[in-house]
Amino acid sequence: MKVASVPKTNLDACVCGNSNVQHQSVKLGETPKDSVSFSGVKDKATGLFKWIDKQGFFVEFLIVDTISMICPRVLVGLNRDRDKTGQYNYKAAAEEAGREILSGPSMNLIPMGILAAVSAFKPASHMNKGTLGAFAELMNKVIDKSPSLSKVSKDDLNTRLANQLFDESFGHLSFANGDKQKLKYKQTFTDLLVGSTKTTKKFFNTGAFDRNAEEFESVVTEINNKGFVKGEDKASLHANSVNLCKNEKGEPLASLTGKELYEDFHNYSKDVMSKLSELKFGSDSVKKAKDFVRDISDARIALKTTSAIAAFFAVGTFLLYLPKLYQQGKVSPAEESAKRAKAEGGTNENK
Amino acid sequence: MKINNVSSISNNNLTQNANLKNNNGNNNVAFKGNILKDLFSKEGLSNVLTLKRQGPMGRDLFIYNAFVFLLGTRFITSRDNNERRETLVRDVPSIILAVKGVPMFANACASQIQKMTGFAFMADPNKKSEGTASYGQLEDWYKYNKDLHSGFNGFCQRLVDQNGNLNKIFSYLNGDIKKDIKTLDKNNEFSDNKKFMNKLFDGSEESNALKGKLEELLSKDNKALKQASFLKTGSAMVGYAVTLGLLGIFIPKLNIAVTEKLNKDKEAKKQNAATAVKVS
Repeated sequence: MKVASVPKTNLDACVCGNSNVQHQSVKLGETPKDSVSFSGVKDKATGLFKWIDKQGFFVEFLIVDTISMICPRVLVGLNRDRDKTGQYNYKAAAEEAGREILSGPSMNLIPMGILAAVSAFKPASHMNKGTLGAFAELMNKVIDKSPSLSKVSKDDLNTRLANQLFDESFGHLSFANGDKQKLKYKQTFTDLLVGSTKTTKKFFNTGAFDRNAEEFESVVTEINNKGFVKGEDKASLHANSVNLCKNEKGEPLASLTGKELYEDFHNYSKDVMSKLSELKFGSDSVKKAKDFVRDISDARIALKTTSAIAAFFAVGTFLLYLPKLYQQGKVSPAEESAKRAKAEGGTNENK
Repeated sequence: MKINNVSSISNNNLTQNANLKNNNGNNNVAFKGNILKDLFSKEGLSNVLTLKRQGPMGRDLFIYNAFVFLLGTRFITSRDNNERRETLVRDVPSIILAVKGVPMFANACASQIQKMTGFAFMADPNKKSEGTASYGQLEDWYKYNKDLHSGFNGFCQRLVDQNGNLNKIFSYLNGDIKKDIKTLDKNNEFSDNKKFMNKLFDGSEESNALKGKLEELLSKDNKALKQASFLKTGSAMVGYAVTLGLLGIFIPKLNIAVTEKLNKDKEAKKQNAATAVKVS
């Protein structure tokens, strides 16, 4: 069975060896009694905000910044002291526009650019700190189980890591159809996850990758829904997520949605595994490999911190030179306004 | 590789069953002071410096940057005291509102809406600061997956645990179900989730009939799911509206009014002093 091409609804059928798939059918011309209409203002609004949510903080900020800061401030600036001078205050408006348009979005775009560049060169730095730690721990266990590392190929390493991941995160679950079902899920899980290392992620064309990531997440959801811990019978709150490793308090080191795990695995494999599989190990390969994994994890975390600080100062430098771009003339509109107010507030002097 | 946020599930929700803390900037704050205290604490700083996944630049890093550089440079390069004062009065609240405003107001609104309507859509019912559940999670919670090992019981219990009101949620599905629930509710006590569940799962014929209908309706796209998604959207809209109103209208007008008043007063004082000198 070629796992990558199995559609979502068929997965269960394949796992249980039954090839009949049930579909809900509605006869032509018949409107189901409880049909939920998919048009309407409510749905459009929900769709729009779903999209905004997906894009993250940058789009939210852009909307807030444009509607609330740029437009009103420009309008208020235009009308500044209009009652006194009888004209639109173009100078104030131009300064407000320049300042707001240039400062707001740039504070997001510059760091985005820096981080994109860093991630392109060292993909593993895109992962969260907790995830890097969890992966390092998993790799240590994999290395322990593979004494002859020099003979292991990169694909093999990926498979072993994926297997280890499944055991750590889902090993405690039981399934209604017993261990056979669990093994089938493990196989599917591992195959899909290793598949992430084979799909390329192009810069603007991430369609295929995203689809595979979604498929992976649906498998994770199914495992979380169907699996249970003996004695407990609660529906999982976050069925689409995977918990990685546990610290001393019993809390997971990292919690990721299926899609995030898919991407992180891709990045980790690209960065760490390819280097690991190229190393030449001698007699003490286990210790060397473990040291390598630990060192590269530390290096990536340090790189995250460095790039955050670099982004911080890059934005700062830009903002420092920004006023030169938008300030027109020596007197600020605020000072001009203050002068007008003074002229109004004081009585006429004879001098 | 996309440069902006890669996670397509809402970036607010990495909370897990095992209570992993998630400091993505949705701090539980009502006052400015608390936001700043959290940000500049050791934990806040370390979270910022190891940039969490959501968004290339976390909300907190943005605030650091804005305070130090945006405000700092505007201060240094301002040409006169009036511009400096304007920077303070206008920009300090603006920065905080721009970054924290939308989630803050949205969460406050969401928790009120949840109490009023009985639909559960907060990520953590006890913690406003964790925000609303992601759209994907809502789909999980309101669409009954027959795979679920804990069955319909587990499905209902999950909604109860999230502080949902089963009576209101199920009555919303359609008119027939509403009637059925009313007929089953002989003692008018179904607003209590426990009593509702006890009756629904007691094995009697009418309970089983209702249960079957519910399972059938809930296993596809249903009105309860749409309503929950819409309520989440609604609270986000309120968050945006309040933030935009404060930022766009209130603060600039306040700023200009303060400038005018201060200078009118200053000039009036000067005039009074000059007159006093003349007279004496």
